[in-house]
Amino acid sequence: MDDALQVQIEQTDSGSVLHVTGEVDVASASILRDALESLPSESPRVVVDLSEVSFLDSTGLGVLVGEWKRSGEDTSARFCLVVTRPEIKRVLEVTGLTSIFSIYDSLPAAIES
Amino acid sequence: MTARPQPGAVGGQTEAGNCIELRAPARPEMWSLLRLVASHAASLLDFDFEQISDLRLAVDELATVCSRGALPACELQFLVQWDDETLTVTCLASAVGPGSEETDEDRDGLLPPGFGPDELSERIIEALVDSYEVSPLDGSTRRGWLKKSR
Repeated sequence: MDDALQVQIEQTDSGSVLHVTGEVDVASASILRDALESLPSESPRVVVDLSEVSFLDSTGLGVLVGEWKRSGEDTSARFCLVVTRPEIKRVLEVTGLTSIFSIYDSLPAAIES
Repeated sequence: MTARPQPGAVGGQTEAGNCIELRAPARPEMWSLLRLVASHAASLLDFDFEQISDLRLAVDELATVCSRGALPACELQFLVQWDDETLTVTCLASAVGPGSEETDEDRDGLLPPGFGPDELSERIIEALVDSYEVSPLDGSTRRGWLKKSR
């Protein structure tokens, strides 16, 4: 698997889906941040699909937390993550971020929620 | 016989065959190399997949914490040592020029309390290894170490 971070943005009827692949670390997190900041502010829903992310460190988490906070009051309805890999679930658990993010185990579940 | 180095003994004498030492510019793109070196050493100790995954992340955070505040002109000394059961990683970041430029992380001044860069990093390290220590920034130098056993 190529470790280089790639982010593809898909616009759906319900909002924006970011398909993220590779490693999100201090060297690459700005790519994810730029992608999130490029989304239309009126986008009703943002789904960040991390199912193909093989590494996520605190810098990447900081980008996600920043976006979560920018999403405003009804953040759980607007901003959510798709996480399938155990190592990514683990870093979310040990940082306590599972309590603030809406996390789904599949993309269809996140889109349909 | 060579004395076993203590955590934080970067640059000191090490036991031949049971250590890897790197000296590199403390640039974020080097972190993947540090993760690779640590995971290779862990595989020699027969760490399982989950332990290696934990170690890779903890090492990444240790390098980040040690380098924070000293970047961008900073050199990192990175030492991995092991015995039959335990792996020790030590980082020493030293500024070699003007530091403390604004980083991408600094732009996230929106982060809520408890989720700042250092807090997240240390929470991760604490959860994933057996013991660790990160010294306060001492002038232009910051040192940290972690230990993880099988």
